Amino acid sequence: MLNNIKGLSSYERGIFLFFGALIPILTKHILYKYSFLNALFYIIMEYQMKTKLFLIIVCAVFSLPLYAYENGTELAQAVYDRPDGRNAFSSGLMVLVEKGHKPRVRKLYTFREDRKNGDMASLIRFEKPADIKNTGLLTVDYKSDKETDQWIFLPAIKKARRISSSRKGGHFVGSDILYEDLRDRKVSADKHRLLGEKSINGVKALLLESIPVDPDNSVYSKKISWIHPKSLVALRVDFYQGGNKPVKRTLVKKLEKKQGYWTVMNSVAIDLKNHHETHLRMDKVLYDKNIPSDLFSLRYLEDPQREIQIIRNISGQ
Amino acid sequence: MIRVLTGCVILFFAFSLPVAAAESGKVTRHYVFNNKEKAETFTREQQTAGQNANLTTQKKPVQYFLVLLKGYTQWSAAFKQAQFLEKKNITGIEVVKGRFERGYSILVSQFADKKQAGQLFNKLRKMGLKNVRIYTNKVSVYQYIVTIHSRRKPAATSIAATPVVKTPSAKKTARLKPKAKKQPAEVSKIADSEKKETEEEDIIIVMSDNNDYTSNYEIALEDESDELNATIWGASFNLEEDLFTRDGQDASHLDYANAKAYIEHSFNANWNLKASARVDANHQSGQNGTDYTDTELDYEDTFLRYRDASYRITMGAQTIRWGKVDNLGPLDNMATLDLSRGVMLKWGENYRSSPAVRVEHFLEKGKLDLVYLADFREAELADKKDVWYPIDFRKGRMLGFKYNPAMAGLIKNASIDDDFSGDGGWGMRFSTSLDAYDIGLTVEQVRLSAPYYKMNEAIRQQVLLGNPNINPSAYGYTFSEQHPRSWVVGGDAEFQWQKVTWRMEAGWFSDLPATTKTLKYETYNGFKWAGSAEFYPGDADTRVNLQLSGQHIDEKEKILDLDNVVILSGEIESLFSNSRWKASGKFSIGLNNKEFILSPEIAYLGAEPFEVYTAFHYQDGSEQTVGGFYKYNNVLTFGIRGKY
Repeated sequence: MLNNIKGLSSYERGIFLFFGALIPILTKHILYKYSFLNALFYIIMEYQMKTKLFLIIVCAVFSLPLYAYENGTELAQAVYDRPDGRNAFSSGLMVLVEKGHKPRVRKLYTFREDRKNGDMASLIRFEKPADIKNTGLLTVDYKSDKETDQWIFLPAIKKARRISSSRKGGHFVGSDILYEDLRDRKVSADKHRLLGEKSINGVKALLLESIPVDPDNSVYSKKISWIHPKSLVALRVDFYQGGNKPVKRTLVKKLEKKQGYWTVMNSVAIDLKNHHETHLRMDKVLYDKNIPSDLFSLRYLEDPQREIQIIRNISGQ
Repeated sequence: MIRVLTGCVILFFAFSLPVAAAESGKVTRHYVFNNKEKAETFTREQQTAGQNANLTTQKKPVQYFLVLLKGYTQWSAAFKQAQFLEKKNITGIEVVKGRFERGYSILVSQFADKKQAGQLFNKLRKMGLKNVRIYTNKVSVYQYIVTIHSRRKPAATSIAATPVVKTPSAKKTARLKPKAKKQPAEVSKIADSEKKETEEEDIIIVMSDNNDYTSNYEIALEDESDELNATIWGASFNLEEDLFTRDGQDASHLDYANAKAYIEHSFNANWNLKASARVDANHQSGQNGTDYTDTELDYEDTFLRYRDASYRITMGAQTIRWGKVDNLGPLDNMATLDLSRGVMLKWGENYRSSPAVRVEHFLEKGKLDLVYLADFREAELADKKDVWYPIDFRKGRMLGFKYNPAMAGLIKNASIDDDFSGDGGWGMRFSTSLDAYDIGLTVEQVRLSAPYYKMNEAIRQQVLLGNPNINPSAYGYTFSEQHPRSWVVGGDAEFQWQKVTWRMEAGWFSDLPATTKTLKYETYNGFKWAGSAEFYPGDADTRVNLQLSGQHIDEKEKILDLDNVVILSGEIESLFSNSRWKASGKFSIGLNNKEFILSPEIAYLGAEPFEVYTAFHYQDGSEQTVGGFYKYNNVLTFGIRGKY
């Protein structure tokens, strides 16, 4: 093929072959810090290869692997494996905003624990408003293919009850967050594709497309995520339900490092059809604290008062 | 305009930021400017002096809070208001044109510190200004960084600048400190904020609020605190007007008011105390002596609780819910039934607390639950004149029995002995989660809280003798409430399958009450069962819970009661219009006895914490069924409820 390119000297051919083989390896390391064009410029300037033809060929032949990740699945896996502590506590506010209406505020706190066996448990408890006060949602996601277990404690009926964890499409406490969004979604549940790189408000991000392997396994037909390479947090996610236009968008408004872990402190989910918005603001986030494992049990789900002492202990109140 | 104005204010000042770090050999110095011209001048001067100086630009977001008075349609009105505020020593006010809406706003002040904005917000609110708002505004500030790599000190320049020195090996950006510089008051506040953000290295703000109305939520957060208190409290109320719609009902309407309050204090990780109470007021109006007014104060959950790693012990009045199904589960006998509002209460809400001692022992896999009902509490009934009382004194009918003209006169003049005392019994339950199943085994020896009426033996003899002129008052009480003590042995299970949560529960009873053909009160063995399926059609926001339940009495002789009852019931709940509205309802259909109960309701939830609702309760059926007995009580309801 190289012999067919006119105007390429044997010297240039040799250089091309040599660097052509190196480029995928080099770019993997370089592009972690530099954008696509920057990297190209870096390579060219570094090796004084200013030939126009070379640029064209490099662009055409080697544009695909020019990322820190070989493919979308690798990036999705990296996002999934993002360090987030062995456990975490967070408290904050969920504000439902709709034009022409008074904002509705939900105050809540959450506990999460990554278990040694790879399972993950979480507990969400609402403090406000009064009609859902003390309502708790306990979720256990399993590393294996076993279906998620989920229980809800409703103070009105004074007992915990198992609920269907296969529920995906319902809105969580009237917000723009669907039940599927709350659940652990395994990387293998979607086909991932790296689309390129884009900036979002001046922050560079890798574009990741995720399409469910089994369309029945998700309420979304497609997701496009803007992954921040440094933190591996999705700064923006567009959710599709068929068609070319997203129906929902989540945006990170503030991303902050807490105890060494990148943490979304402010975010918003926007229903792009009716412009209803759900703002999530974290006031306190604590990682790797002494959270008892049995907190993630029906026992504690039915006993919200116990959690108050745990929160006081871990936050040093 | 506001954004431009503030951007100018921020760009107005520049400050330079020093930190020193010793290094052998080459030293990198950074000079940070917020003024581009100054940075360029400084760079040029350094380059002229032979220094290796480079200028780079860095974009940085800054957040601040505007306190605005909104919604003035006329400029003159806004101006007048501004003048009024100035008289109150609130200065620096400006009337501005609204960005996204018609009319004018008053920009009272702007702060980098949200707390200060909140203080002004509260101050204005106290002055009666309801139109005060706080908006978050974010702008990007450009910083101009001049980097000099040199062993020499930089050349003297016309620009006052202090360097930030960094060793070449340092990985992180040097920390920046503002140079003390007197600024106008508001600008200083913004500068303080900038300093704070600059010191936070690992913060990324991806987007700012660019919709005017989305900023409104800041207002809602003013009073929120992230502190958790050891003492919590709550209260709720319900005001309701019930209009009876069916001919044959003497009562025309019922006014109902209810208020509940609780306080709970957590002493430490082991102990907490809860106290709660409720008051119910009823006023029923109509004809033929249906008028009555009643107000009742009652206790709710009031207990002392101890817990440790293995035990949780609760002493006092408490609502203990056992079993799995939601509607009158066969094993749910530890709590007291609330029958005071007939069929109007929602599933699961028709229970009251009972005085008890409860010990929960947590095992590695599962829980052992022991309950002693120290003082028996019978079911909460409506007033005897209330349409929901289980005996209709006006028509001479009794719930559970066919209308008998021969008995009607007796019932019309009946007196009821409802004074029942003694302990309530005990119960033991083991529950555990096995893989995807939650199961439980229960043994109870309890008094059943729903009342059953036993005829006075002397009166019964007179009835059997065919005496047509019985004077019931001559024999004491005509009927006495019975709460037979029964053994209950049963089990329950809960699991999910095919996107449905399945719940099932069954129990054998040693003593279920019944009345024989000879009007004799007896108890027989019996069996109750229930199975339910809860699901979300279309995987959306509608919840459906269907329940099939039955009761069989193993009678030894003919009885007047229904000995086999199978009912299909259900509860549906759907949220719509961004969860501002809720349509819900419940129904009950008798499968082997004619019965139909339907209760649709629509509620507006958008005015939190209030809920405005209207409902209709329809009942019909054969005489022995609940629907049949209450068929004259079809009622249209309007109400408001709220929780704090």
